[in-house]
Amino acid sequence: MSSERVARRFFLTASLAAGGGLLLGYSIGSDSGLNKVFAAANPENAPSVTDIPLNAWVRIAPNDEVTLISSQSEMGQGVMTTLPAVLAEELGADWSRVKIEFSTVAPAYRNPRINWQFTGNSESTTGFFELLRSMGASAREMLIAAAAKRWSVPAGELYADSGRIIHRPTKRFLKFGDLAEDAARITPSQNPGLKAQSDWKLLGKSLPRVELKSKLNGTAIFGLDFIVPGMVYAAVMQSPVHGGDVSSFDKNSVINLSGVIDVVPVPNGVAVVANQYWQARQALRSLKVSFAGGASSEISSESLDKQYRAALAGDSWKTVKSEGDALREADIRGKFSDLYSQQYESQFMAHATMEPMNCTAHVTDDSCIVWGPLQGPELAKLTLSGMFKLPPERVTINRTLLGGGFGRRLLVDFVVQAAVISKAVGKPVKVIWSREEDMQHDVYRPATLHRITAGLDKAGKPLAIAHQLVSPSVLQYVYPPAVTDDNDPTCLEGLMETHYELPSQRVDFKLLKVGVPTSVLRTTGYGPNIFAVESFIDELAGKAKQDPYEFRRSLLKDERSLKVLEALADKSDWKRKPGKGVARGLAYTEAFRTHIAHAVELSVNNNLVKIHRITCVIDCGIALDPEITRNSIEGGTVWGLGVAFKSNITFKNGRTVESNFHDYQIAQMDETPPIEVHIVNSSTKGLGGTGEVGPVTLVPAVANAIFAATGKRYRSLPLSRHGLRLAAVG
Amino acid sequence: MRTTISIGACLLAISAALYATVRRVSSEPNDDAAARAAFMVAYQVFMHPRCVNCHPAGDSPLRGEDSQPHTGLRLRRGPDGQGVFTLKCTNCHQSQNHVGPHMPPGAPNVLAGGALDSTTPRWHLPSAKTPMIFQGRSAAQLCRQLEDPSQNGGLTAEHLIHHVSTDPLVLWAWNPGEGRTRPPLRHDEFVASVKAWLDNGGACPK
Amino acid sequence: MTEVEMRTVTFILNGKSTTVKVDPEKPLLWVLREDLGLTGTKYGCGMAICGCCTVHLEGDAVRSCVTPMSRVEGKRVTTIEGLSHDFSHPVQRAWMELQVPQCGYCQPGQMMSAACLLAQNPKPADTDIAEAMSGNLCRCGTYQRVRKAIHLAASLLIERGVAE
Repeated sequence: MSSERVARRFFLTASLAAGGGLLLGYSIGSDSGLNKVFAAANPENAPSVTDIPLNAWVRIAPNDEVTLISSQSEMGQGVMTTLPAVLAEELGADWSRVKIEFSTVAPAYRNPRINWQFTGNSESTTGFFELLRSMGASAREMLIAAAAKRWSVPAGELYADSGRIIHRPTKRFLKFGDLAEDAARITPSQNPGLKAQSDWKLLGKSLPRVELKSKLNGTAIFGLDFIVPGMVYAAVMQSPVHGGDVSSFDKNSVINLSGVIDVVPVPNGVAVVANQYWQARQALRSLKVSFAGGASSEISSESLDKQYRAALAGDSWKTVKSEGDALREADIRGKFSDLYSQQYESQFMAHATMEPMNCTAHVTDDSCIVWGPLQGPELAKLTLSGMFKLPPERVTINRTLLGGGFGRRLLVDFVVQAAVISKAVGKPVKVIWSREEDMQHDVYRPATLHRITAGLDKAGKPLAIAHQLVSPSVLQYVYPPAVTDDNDPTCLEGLMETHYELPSQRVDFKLLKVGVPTSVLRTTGYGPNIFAVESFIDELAGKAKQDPYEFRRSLLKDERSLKVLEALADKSDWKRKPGKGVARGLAYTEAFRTHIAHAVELSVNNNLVKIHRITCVIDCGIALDPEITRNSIEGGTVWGLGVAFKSNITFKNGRTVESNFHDYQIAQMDETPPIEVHIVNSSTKGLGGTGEVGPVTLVPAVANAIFAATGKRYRSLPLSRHGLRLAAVG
Repeated sequence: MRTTISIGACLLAISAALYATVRRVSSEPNDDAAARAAFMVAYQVFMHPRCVNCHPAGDSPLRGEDSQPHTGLRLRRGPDGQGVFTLKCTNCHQSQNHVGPHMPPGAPNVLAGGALDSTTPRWHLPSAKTPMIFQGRSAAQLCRQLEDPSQNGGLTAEHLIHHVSTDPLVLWAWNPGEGRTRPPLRHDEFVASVKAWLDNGGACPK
Repeated sequence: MTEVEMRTVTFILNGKSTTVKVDPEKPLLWVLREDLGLTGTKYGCGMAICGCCTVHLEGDAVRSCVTPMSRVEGKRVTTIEGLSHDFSHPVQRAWMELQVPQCGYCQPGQMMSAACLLAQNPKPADTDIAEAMSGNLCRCGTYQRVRKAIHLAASLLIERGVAE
């Protein structure tokens, strides 16, 4: 079944876990009306009629203004700058004058790898780089062809620069605006010539973010800020017990309160609608409502823990990888000089984007328009089209900036809410979740439980590694076609391939069905898996009485891996003995196609962990914008500190316990030590993602450093459960 | 003449000493046992989290039933007890409590004449010079500290009674907002025990 | 319809006298966002922990999500929109030079706290910064850049020869 067909028609079945009724049960129809090369005109945001599209990505106005389309959502990872810069580089546009516009939902804007339009999984750059180079180059060639025709000169004598097509011999030029109409009539070539990397003027440099200024003076529009005339607001309360529903509510208890317009049921909850959000929020406090049910009402962190452990101890594993002879049988005892086995655990976590969930929608009998901070606009479009039985071209999805995404905004529950409420009240509605609602109705990064077993030779070198993983699904609500009854490929990230030379490898997986909602969260499968793997490798190094760096080095042959690891040892002064009471730990992996390694230098006193210095080396192919890359990895490193030490979601009586930042804790400035990020460039053929790779090696590097400092090995996160705390460093 | 002067000087010295302390001057003879007993009653309130949290031993205000630092916030008393720079107490604490749990509590300011000013918050620690630490104090230590003008901010007995009777920050302890317990006595009982301690001569537990 | 008794509040917002008629329970944050159309000040937690709602009230960095309008009557309030009208505030200049923001949602609060710190402590050490900014959370983890930017802003202030 082609991925295209699958993407166009799939069903979210009710057999998936409870805890998200509003995510399930909608059949998603086909989108056959969208096979257009040019951008589908967005009626709310129509470009000027005189703007000329050269293709779906480049529009040129007669006044010479170049508009570049950003298919990807901007949530701090800088895609709104870097990907249009790819277009501009090939096009030869004047970067100082380009306008950036978010795209509509259309096949032209789908990530080519899975033919689906979304922003996530650190795939924006890797997914679109080659496509955008071609699109920019193609548009450039159309402009050049138009100029060649007008001047009757060979195209080879022309080049593009700063928004002009220039005739090399005579230096005469034509502006893009003068050529656009003619250019649009040229048939674009199938294989446009790409600019040589050595000629890059924009890429490989650090460009100021296009939206930076708006983020410095309060004019940046996030979903929460967006206004449409006639808009009203909704405050939502969903069943506190996961999977439960409203059993009754009394509209009369609030309808007479100031500003209140209506009380509307939404999936698993109820919304108070008012003229202003404050009024809706206040009224919601007074609403008489009762909830009931939820198969999950007995669930607690303890019951989940029991469920995970029973799964790990049980049978019926799905073998997803088996290489080499030694692990053919499940029981590998007796085949090696020594066996070593350990268990590792990662915790449930909340996305806790700084901007809480929100969305604006206006639904009428024959149209549906949405404005919001979305990562999954195609899923939103198809869901709403199916729900309201509207042809897809009558559903318009507009995107604002996102105050953080981390995978949460790939889902469409908050979008559906806004649409349902708008339909009910007949006006544009913005739904805003309070922080408490957001924290307690997140779709969480699930906990994972691992058992890793190695067969070792006499010197302690691993000849075989078997990894057993117990994890709930993460992709189930975000991209259902990839998830089956017993498998979810995202859960296995980091386990299916490794650069460590291991003759035998085996991965057994148990897809656990739990009664709390789970989904992708920054680092997806890599985060928990590499915490386990890089802790385990470190333990093997200790067992073999080898330096952790030398041990890893001896297991690697890949050039890029070695280069990154060696650079890390160099930049972190790994070989120099640390000061008294100071210890170091490191970790290396390839995740999201990027090679990354972290070294952490710290001291531990009375369970207080003071981090002195963090060093990171990454090879993401080519850092198209080094400053954005560095900022992203620094930020990911800080995120990782929270994952390692503090962030934890727990459950009791079917409810999430944590509700705000006082009890769901994240990293803070005074715990942030100096972080150095070093970029190793290799080649554009090896482009990798950077948005979520930072935490992946930071977390095990911390655990490894703590072992080096104390001799104690911690195998479950967060470290706060072992009494460890981050000390202030400033 | 000399005898009169010396007797007079002694009386002056004695009464000066009496006026300089917090002990209420009363025509009744001291009842040390009663004073000590009354202080022990008041001590239960002084050592309750609602009081201890703003009379901490360290440089940071405390919160909660278990008197912990404010999660994540690096708060400092500052020279005048109002906090410093971006994290002054009244940057978060307002002139009244908020509806709902985990919200910063508040109390109104008091104007010179004694009227309440509910547009301005009053929330602070004692100053750095006179930190008025309750946390960790034994009854004996606290009693002596409360009566020592160099440690109690120069308060007389009248001032002290006025403070516990009317200061919005004290009264707040009995209206602390959702999720916070009240001291184990009613406010009027607490005031009465402070009065009884001072009226009976202000003797301290040993 | 139960109408809340509205209250007229006049205050000086970003240098201009501004009058609003509001529910007296409504915090300054939502008055700014909903009644006055200034959406630069953000909602992040509603309980004064995250710092996204930070504005200046008579120069102090108050958390507007818990600040009642009664407190604001007759006073001067500055929001992120009022830091400057041309990105000239040293904090803005430093933030721009070091490309501090990622998603940007917490940054107005970070900048308002930073501006307040520098106004009262023009040469803060790392410890002062760590303390003063401990109430501003950033989910994207821009802390290192914020810290560097505050140092840079401090040196820009010295250049400028003025403290705000």
